[in-house]
Amino acid sequence: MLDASVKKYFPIFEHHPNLVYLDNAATTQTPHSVLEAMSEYYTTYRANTERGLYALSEQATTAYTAARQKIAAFLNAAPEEVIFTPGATYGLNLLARSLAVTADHNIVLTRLEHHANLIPWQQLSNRTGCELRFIELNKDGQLDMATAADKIDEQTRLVSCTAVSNAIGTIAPLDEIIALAKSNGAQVIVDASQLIAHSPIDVRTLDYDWLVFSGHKMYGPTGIGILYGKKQLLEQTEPFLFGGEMIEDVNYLTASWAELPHKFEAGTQNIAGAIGLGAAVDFIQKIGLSAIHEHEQSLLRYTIEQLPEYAALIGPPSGAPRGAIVSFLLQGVHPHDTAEILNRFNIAVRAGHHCAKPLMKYLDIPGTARASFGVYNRPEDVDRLIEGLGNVKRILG
Amino acid sequence: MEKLYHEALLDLYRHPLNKTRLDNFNAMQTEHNPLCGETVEIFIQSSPGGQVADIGWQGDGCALSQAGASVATEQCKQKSAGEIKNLSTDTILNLLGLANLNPSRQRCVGLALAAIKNALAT
Repeated sequence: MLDASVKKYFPIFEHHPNLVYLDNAATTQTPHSVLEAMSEYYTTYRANTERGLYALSEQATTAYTAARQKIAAFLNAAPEEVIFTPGATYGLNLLARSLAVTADHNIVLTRLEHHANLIPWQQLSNRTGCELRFIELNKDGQLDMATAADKIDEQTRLVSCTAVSNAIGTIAPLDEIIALAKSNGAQVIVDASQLIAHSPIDVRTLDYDWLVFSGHKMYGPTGIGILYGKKQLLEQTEPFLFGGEMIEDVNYLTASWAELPHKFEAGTQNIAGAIGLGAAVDFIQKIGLSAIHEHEQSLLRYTIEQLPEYAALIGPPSGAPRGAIVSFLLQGVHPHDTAEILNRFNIAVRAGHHCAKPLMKYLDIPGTARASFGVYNRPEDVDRLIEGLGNVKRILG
Repeated sequence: MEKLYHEALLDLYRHPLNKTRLDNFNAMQTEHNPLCGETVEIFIQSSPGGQVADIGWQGDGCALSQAGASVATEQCKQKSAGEIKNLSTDTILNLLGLANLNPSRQRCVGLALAAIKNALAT
């Protein structure tokens, strides 16, 4: 368990000392160090990057480049493989727009996917005629790998899958999925949004092709995220947005593209966001991802143990591996009402379909209430949640 | 705190009014609330004079949406499309004693009324 003093890094709890924040899968709170890094840029060296010949611009470029290097080291990637984006949704849309797919191909997703890893592929399918296939879930909410072996074949161009389900916490067996995809010549896209702040990721160990995540789910600012791509694949891929700073040469009729990573970063970037994201990586590394993982898993176990009998755990059963997410339904109570009543006790949880509406239909549930954990959560937060559920039951049960 | 979930509202939640699929209807509309995934289906049988002669609804959702659908369908009975046009989510909120409800939850309460208006507009 992490020390309780971790909470002091986060100014939100100075403003809301009584807040039990359990919506970290939606967005995490921001530590002082991230806010200060961004404020320092805005107040002491604000300038555009890569294009000014004056000292401030060079300082901004250095800070922007250093942020990229930190994130690359965090993933064990090369800096030119790390593309700044506005977030995971953008990264997935970029890939769906840029990767070459034809009507003969199929794209394999899972039943778990967030709308951000579903709709871009539906649109690609509409444009090209490629087929969409889905890896099924078993009764325990885990990916049924027998169906993965059926769906992934030699015509599979891409397998795009979440590392951890934002809705129900299922952990995908990425090693098996990647091996299966590679043996069929397919590329793999991993949506690491719910993994990046919770477990170490090494893009070389599992031989990732593509990886996307959002900064705001890892103690960084909103509006910044990362697309990691293997260098060789990024070089083969056409850019998605065109404009300033992404060109090598341009005349009135033609243009050629800049070297990586700039080829994919058209226009003035979210410079403060990138610097903030670099500071967020520093913050996570200072606490330590292994310690964070252990802390959150211990809160997870405690929550599941304490869940009352009128709460049904959704997704992997008690004791099975899961991300830092507990999704549940109270008997006879719509999750919206659960969240509304918890809010009245200053407890923030998410309720609804969690941007995974097809999954809710697949599981035949109206949605869930979801508690998700971060570094500042304490066992006392879980106690407050459980007490809050008692109040929900008393009022609505 | 418990004012939102007052007894009258909870009673409508537990025993919703007009929650039935009509066998005969001449207007039907489905409305979704993307925030929470609720869906309400409305069935209306109009009289030759254009009034709502019979109305029913189906859908699962939170207490507020269920109570909102009960009150909205009650309010529309025997009214013309013109009269119904003048009803607003505020009307339903006031009848439910929820005048200060936050905007995101107002959509839950207003979902059925929106479906009724759209059913009569098509």
